[in-house]
Amino acid sequence: MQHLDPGSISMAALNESLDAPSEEHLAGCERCAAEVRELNLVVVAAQGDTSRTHLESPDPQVWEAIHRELGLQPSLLPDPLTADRSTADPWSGDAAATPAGQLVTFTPRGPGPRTFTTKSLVAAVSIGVLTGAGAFWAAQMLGTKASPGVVAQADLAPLDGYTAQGSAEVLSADGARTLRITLTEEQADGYQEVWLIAPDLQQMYSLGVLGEGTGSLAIPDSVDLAAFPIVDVSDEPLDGDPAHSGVSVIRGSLAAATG
Amino acid sequence: MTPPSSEWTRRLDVDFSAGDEQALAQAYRSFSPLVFSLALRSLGDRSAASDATQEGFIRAWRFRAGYNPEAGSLPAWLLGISRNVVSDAQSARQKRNRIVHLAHTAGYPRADENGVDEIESVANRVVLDAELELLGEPQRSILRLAFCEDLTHQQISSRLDLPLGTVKSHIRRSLTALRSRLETWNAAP
Repeated sequence: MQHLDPGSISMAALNESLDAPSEEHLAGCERCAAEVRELNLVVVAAQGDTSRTHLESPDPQVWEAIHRELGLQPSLLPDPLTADRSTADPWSGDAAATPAGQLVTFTPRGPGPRTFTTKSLVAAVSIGVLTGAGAFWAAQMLGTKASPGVVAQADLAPLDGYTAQGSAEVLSADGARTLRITLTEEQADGYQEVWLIAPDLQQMYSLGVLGEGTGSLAIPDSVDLAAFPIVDVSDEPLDGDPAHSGVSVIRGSLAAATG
Repeated sequence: MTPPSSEWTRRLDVDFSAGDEQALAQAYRSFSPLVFSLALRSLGDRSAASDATQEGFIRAWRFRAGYNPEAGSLPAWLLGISRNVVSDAQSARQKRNRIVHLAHTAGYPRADENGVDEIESVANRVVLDAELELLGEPQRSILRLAFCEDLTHQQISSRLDLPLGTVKSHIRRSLTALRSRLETWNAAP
């Protein structure tokens, strides 16, 4: 017996009528009917009217307990369910609504960061971001510190196929920031290029080329480290292509320096 | 209240996994009423539901390294964790006192004819909305037209100026993917 093709199963799940032979088959075939029912659950869930369902909010003590247990930053103490949206919502993009002492964003100017969508790199970056969990919000504070010395650091870990170890530090003096990066060995087949990459996995800045041992690279004023916290060293072939090769040697996430 | 997922975005998935505490606060703002209501429905009293909600968010934050924003939305993951917490609390309580449990669960919204109660429908909807965002274009637009405007494959094809075969294969793959995402949060341990 010829069963329904997957496209027809989906159409039936969306309550569309099929041609007569298909309808007839569906009426008599438990296997096809079961597949339709299975996918129809999604359609029912998507179309259900949930607007009148009443949800109960937890009491303020619940957030208090979460805040205390996780040791969250003090500015987050007000219950998010009742806190004023302008201060609880940093995504609005409205700098005036940002509470003093919190995230300071420098808007990138001039040529924007490059976009890069190669899948292999994206997958690798997401591992880097997850490993660096906790580092990101700390990195958000970087823009607010003006004292000279080390303001942030990252331990760099080798990616698959590499063994080099390394570290990176952000130094700040007279408002200028420098990334000092040290690798135990040079493992690139081509040359080593240093990048700052965003956690959205789409954008990055090239800081320049790294030689053997330790190198220092200027961080452009317009680069917001909160938005580009991942330090990445790539192996770049000598092909004249300015984009990231997609081959990374070592990587880490910047966190605010402690002590 | 309005659907709780409305202020949640893809970017917050990524920020949460990267350890941004603001994203945790936003997750609480968007989803704690849903988590709390699910817990209340299953456990029956506010004190136990409060404990479960607290535990759900704490676990989600502590184990965020296990959440991959590329693989699914945070609401689906958070609701899955919360369901596990509620289920743990239920079995612990049932061991202690079966009768008390039965008495307390009476009087809360009951399942409809499909075995899905109202609050669970909201949870499914929240997960679907978030997962639809993840599908990207043109899948997202295609599915929205199919779900919300109830258009046929042929009408969607005309509306979006896409070949019928393309619309068909996107709908088929997307429905299958969404089904498995719903299963993820619905899967009781």
